[in-house]
Amino acid sequence: MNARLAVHMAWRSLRHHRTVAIATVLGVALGMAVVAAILIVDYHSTQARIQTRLTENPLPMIDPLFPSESKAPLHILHVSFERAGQVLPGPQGGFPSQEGQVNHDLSAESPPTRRGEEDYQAMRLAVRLASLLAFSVGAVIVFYTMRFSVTSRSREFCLLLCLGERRANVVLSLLLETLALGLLGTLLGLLAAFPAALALIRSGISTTGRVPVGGFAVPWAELLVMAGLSVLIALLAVAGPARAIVKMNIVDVLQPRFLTGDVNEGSLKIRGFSLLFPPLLAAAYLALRPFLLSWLSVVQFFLFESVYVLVLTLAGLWWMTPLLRGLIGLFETALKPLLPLEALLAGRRMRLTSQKLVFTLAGVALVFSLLTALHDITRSLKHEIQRWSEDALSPYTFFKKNEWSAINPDLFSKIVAANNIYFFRLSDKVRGEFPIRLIASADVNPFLQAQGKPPLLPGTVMVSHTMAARFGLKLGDSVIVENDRAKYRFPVIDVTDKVGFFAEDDQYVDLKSYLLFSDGNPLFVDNLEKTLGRFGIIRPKQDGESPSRQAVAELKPFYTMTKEGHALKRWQQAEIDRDFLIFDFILAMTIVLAAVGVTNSILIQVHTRGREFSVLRTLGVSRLQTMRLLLVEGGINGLVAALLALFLGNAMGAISVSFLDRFTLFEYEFVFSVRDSLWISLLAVVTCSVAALYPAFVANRISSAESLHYE
Amino acid sequence: MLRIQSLSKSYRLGSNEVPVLRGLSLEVGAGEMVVIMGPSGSGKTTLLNCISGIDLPDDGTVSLQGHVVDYQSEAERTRLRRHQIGMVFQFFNLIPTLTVRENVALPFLICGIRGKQPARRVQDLLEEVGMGHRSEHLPFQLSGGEMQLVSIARALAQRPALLLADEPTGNVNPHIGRSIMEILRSTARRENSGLLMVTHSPEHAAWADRICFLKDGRIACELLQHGQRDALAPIHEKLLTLEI
Repeated sequence: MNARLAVHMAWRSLRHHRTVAIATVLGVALGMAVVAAILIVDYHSTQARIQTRLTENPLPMIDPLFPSESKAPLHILHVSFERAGQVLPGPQGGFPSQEGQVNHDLSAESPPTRRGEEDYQAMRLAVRLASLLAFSVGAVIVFYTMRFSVTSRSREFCLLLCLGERRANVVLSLLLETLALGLLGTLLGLLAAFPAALALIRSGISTTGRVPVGGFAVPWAELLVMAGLSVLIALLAVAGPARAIVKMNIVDVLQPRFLTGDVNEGSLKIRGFSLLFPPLLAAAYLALRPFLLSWLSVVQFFLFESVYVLVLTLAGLWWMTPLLRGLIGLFETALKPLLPLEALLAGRRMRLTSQKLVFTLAGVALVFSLLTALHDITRSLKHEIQRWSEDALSPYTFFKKNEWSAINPDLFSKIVAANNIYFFRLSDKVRGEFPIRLIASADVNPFLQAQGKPPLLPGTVMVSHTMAARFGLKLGDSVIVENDRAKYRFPVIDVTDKVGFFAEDDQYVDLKSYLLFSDGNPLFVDNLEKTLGRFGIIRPKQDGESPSRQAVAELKPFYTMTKEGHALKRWQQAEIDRDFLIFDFILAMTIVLAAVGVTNSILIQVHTRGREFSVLRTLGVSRLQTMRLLLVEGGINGLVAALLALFLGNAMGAISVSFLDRFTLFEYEFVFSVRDSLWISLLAVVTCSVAALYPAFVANRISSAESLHYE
Repeated sequence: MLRIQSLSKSYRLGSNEVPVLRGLSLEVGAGEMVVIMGPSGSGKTTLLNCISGIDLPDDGTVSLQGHVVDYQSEAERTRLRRHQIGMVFQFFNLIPTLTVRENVALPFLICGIRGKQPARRVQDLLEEVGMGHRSEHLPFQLSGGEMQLVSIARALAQRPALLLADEPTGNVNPHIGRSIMEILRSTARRENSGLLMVTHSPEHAAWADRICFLKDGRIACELLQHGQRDALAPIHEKLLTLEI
């Protein structure tokens, strides 16, 4: 085997197709950089200790069932739930839920998973999957480039074979070429990952939504594995081309070169039966779905469903060439009145070579699907926050009682009445699996009455939405609290966030979880009730109004304001934005990668279509028209990818939102946004059109005289 | 109609300057068929490329229908190719993704001309070259000769003043070659287009009104043929004399 010749051939090829080689290295490097940066940030996020965001001191632990003086251990406490009519609820909406896995008589002795961890794990999973997508787009670029390399050099290879070279040696040259590109790209990606990760960490971005602090931790082992994988993927890209070289028919390849443009009988075939595959697969899945729901865990089901939708879409893309042709034809027709020449040339070429477009389109569609899905998730999360904030935050102003002051009840009542506000006295909140808080019934019942709700009496309980979601509680269920002396049943009279929340320093999920009892309960009278009034919240009697500054000022001798609800709402929304910055980073990099992929693929086409462009020039096509032609091709690429992304992205979004709704304790709701979809589609079109700019310039520089030379 | 005066063109190969055309002068009249013959590397294709403006001459002038072509202007070169020159290639160079009809209609589309008139012109041309029945086929479904006939129809679409043909019969069998020559000659004459054709074949060169023998970048000699297809002896004699 002549390794020296193989090295020489590889080197010459890389030099000759410099731009394509650079695009490939860039593809590998960007993919590797994203994954490596995310691995570092993720490792750092999970290693670093959690920094809480509020600065107030945590509240003291209170034992709700024993007098505060008592030091007795909590040996007989038992809290459980009783379903209304003893009917146990099953999973809702056909999706698996945490509820299904929770013991329906859950007690404090068998608590569920640590609160809040599911959200962080879900986010970590999503971040890692998203970064893998960037990596995959890089891999697609390498695979596509190697295919081109073999096609464009087939004559050269065949001439070498005619001169006595071995096929194995030709394959070796390709292998060396890819190895060089893969190694260089991986190395550059790794080098770029460190400053990128550092910048992300310094900006307070993490994969868990928590703010990491401390030093710079690096997962060396994982990085090495990913680097090895990156080079391996690059090498795997040679497998297909190597097979092509082994099968290459020298006589065919060395025939005089006509302008055929890869159009042949196969381009016109419509594979009727292949149209059946996607609907059949979809139908089969729908039939199996209920069984999968019961067999698989929530995470397994989510992953399975996501992968299934993805594979189904890509398989559909591959099988349903007619669909792709139809979509392209649609855009060709739409563009025809505006740019008849460009629409005809670009549209027709894309339709007849649609199977070759699959790689590019799949890459771009994947990227924008992810963007769409992520928008669905963030929109849903923000919607949830917004809804909760409207109930629990916006109307309220939060106060803490001044330790030194004694309340004059008459004066206090006058202030409340004069300012037309409700004032709710709250107790300390008991931490733990069953967070309990008391509210003064005299304060809250007028409000409940005004809302048309039943009053909160000593024998009843109100439950926050998050608490209800954790244990699948519904209106009419009962909370059973049992000690060594008696068993108390508290019917749930309302599941609401409209009252009982107090802005404290704790995890988001914990803050939103509480059982709200009134004063006067014998269970709490000796302990928790003694803290009643330590906290206070006010809300105006008229919905939509803000508590006046005068009310805050007049309450100052007794209570000091700690937070304003509307300010807290803004803070919450900013926090969500910050938590999702990591996705913005991944998506920005992936969009760049998609652009590199499109540039690369169009550039490859420009090289192989030099003769066609030259013929067009001899027929009078101007440079501007040539540029427009390629921009239109890029634009149609973007439009088709946007349409696919619209379907795939929203399907993924709906699945993710349903998963989050079941897996986490928040109430997520999938809402299709026409505006977001249009923006993402526009972004896809602009990205692909901009990506076509450079190839368009290259096409303009092609010498017609040289390209039209016979051989 | 076409007047070329002192046309020069050289290429740079590394540090060497290789002259291809050395002060070439030539004239072609309206409806006249002129054939260029010459050895490989004598500058035949370069001459056609320079005339059509896909390559730029270093020196000399080209005037078409009394107007001197300004090769420095990209816009004028494009205009020239759109409206005044039609090209026929050895390898046909049809756009593979367009049907026969669309290929012939392409010059109109490039100029932004639409409507019934160009459609009728396309149909007439296709009938004229005998390809009317294949109008909806794609190029790969045609034989080499048929592709060349479509290519001729495309070149004539805009009624160009000058038709440039670079070995139009070089890639088809002799029988088809004769048909192509027949159609090329008759349609060019009917359209009153000047025809400048490059060929290596004396049989096809014999169709010309005049044959120019190109050697070392110049017209070494001319032969008035007057379209006498059977008079091959003078052509062979010239080729032998000039060692072409």
